Amino acid sequence: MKRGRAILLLPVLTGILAVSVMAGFLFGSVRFSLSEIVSALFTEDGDASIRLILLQLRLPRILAAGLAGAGLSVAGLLLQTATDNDLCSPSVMGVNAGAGFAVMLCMCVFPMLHAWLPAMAFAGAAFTTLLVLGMSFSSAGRGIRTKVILSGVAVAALFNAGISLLSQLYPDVLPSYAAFSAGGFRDIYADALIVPGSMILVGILAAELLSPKLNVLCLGDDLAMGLGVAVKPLRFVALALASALCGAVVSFAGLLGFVGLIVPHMARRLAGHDIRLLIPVSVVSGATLVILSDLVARTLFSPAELPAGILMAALGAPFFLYLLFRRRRV
Amino acid sequence: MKEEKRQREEAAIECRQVRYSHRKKEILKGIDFRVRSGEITVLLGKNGSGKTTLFRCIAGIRRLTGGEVRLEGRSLQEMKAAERSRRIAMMPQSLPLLHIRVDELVEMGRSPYLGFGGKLSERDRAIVQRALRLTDMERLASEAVKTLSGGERQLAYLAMVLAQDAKLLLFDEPTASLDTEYRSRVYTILRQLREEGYALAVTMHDLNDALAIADRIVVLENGDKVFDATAAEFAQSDLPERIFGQETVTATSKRGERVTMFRPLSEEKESGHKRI
Repeated sequence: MKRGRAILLLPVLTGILAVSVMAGFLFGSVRFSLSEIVSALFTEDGDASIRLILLQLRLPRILAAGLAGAGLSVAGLLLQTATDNDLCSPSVMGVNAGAGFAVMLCMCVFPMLHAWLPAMAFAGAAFTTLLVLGMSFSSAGRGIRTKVILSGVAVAALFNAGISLLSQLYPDVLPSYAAFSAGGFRDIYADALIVPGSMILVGILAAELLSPKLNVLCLGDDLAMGLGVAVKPLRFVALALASALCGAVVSFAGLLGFVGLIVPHMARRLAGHDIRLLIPVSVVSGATLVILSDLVARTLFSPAELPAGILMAALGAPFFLYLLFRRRRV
Repeated sequence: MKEEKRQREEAAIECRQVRYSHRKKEILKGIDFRVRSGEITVLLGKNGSGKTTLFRCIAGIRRLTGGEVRLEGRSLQEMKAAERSRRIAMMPQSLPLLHIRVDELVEMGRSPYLGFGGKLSERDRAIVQRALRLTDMERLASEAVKTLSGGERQLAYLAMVLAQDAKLLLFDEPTASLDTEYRSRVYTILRQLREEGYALAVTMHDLNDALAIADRIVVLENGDKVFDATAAEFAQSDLPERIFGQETVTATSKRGERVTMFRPLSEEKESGHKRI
């Protein structure tokens, strides 16, 4: 991509994100005008109930959607780069299934630990990643990129079988699990975002610091190693970072599909293939996409709400197919 | 004894009894090998003889199972990866089709010199420009690598390797899939680098190309070194026939020059060339 266009791209995308955030504040089951919002937030005699809705309900929700979008997008980008496979995503790596199984297990066997569900989701995602990485990196020989994906698919199948078994044994928990597996931002509070939000921000920063080395991975192992890059440890770190990001998002947003797959593709079409630029573009595009999806999900059938994950899948799948079959331009 | 010491001092890289095994199969069986500054050393050998593995061992891509590689008197195993890649650059056989632009590819050659931010300095940019100029890729700098022809792609990667600014350059079959024009361009660049004092090692299968470009020829057979001498000595040996099934012939060119060349043994009866 032309360098001049790259300089313009980020400010334009950030502008779109800012508009999305504004829209997130303005619209919802109750609509406020801009003057009402300004008055509630910045004046002493503003409506306290409006301030409460904006700061206690909408702000955490927008923040959660933005963090989830940014985290999953960078996780997807890292997974696709480290495995050199454009179809790789958190769900292909088995991370979603692992987190889902952990949550299901907690709901069924330890229902008294309901407050620990986000931590269990994170633990499940982290355990699955370690399992997949351990299997892929411990075996000798070449083809680690393929092994990661195949191990991910096998582990996902195993955990999905576990979820099915638990749902047969404990049919009562199915409605709660369905809400988690659909993904969404209902009942999110700011306090719940501190730990996962910090992890996401640190993870994104670490990915950006690694990006010059990650760029070299596209050259293949021989050339990358010839350029002094420790390919295997770099892949491991990139995959571990991706799993930390996924785990952090799953812990408060549930199993939000498609973001990690689609956003890196969108970002590449917009910004080219330099990962140094792709990371900020993915962060801003991912955050915008999820904030807008959540906005539509909570206003479309207002006052009823759809889980954002369902909407993302409904919009994302056709969009992905469109990208796939459209003639590629470089 | 003195001559041997002088030669060793001149050697940019020296392999001493290099061994490499993979899954209990010994691929390199104790190879002594030197590449000197200002020389082109050509490695010949059939597929599977260990040429590429030897290069990978020298470039630090494979870990030796025995022996030692010394670079300007220092053991390669003692060097960190970034330092090693500032001194040795290798262009492998298979070069991926990438979406990135040629100048972005060549800039990657500066990776061993960059910090965490990956920002290029003025010096880095000057070296990248020089590499593009030397390979005549300046005009294609903004093109995506995947849109280039096979020959152009080879030159783009050659520019990337040159941007690495290493004094020892390893080329694994750099002309295998090129037409005569691009072969000639690659060889011209290699000769120019030799004149500038680089140490070059090149693997190839074409004996005539090897004869035209090599100062020294090293032949590997089943992981052993079976020959290491000048190109002229190689032409006079029985190796071309014994290992490669080619005979050495001398002929007179249209300009009246005597030339030595190789041809497959099966062609012997069809021509009246004198056999050496």
